Amino acid sequence: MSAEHHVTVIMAERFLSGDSPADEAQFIEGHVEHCEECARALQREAAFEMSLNDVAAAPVPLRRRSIRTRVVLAVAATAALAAGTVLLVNSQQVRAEQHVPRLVRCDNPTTHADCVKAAHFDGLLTVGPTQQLEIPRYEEAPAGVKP
Amino acid sequence: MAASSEPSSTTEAAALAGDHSAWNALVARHNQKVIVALIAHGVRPAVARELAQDTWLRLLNQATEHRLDRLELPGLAIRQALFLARSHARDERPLATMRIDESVPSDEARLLSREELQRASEILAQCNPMAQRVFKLVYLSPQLTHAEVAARVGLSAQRVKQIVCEVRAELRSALRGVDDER
Repeated sequence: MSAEHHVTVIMAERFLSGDSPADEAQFIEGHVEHCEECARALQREAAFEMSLNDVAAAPVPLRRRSIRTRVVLAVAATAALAAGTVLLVNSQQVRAEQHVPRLVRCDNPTTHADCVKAAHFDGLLTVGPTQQLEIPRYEEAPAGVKP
Repeated sequence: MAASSEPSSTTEAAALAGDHSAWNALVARHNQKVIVALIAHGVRPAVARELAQDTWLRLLNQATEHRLDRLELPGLAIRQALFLARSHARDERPLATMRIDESVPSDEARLLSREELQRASEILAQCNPMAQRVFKLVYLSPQLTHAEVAARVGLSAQRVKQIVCEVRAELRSALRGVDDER
């Protein structure tokens, strides 16, 4: 390696990591004694190497979004909010509907007993021949048996 | 006997207790970082090597005289080396052919501007997770050798070196626009 050559970035990097072959290390040491440009380049590379500690220690940045992406996200968020409001209102309506007692008319005397039994099994209220609301009743427990 | 594969804290404790093989292991592990710090401050490589040697001798003497409570390396050695470099430059000793570049902040100070650091962090975040892990282990755990980092991540030492080189090249190109081939 002649004195006409200069120190490249790769050579500087190898030198600073201690991986230079002996002749290359010798060349660099000798060359930077009289070549100010290469001495500065080597110094910059060493400073860069030291600054990598800061890079490694820096927190992972949040990705910056473009204005267009931000507008799209804002529109999507507004739409999602609106959809959520609609869903909330609907679910409240459904719940209100679910609380309305559902009535079944069981006014045929011949089928009344079966109708009432089936309706109560399904959790429905029945209206009998007298138009009175019939509330499901539990059978009385047999004597000696705790309900 | 402290081997270089032992945890750094064990090696440092052994060195403080006067174990010379532990000192040899620590010097082998951290000497290059001390030299790089000196070169970053404008000291010529040949002089940097001498100053680094001088630094280790002084630390060894201080430990022998029980004037060191703990060894935090490479930070302590770098501070000691920079102190020596400045005092040599002031005293105009034979080593005064070197120049201490005071414009370069000390190793505690940030060498990158906030914007550069932000840009570098973004570049690092774009690297694959293994490359990020290797890079952080290498630079945030200076007590680990490449071989030890390789053992932790399950790669070969050669691959670890390659990954560090690749990430470094990406960062250099993003920060300084310098082509590796120059």
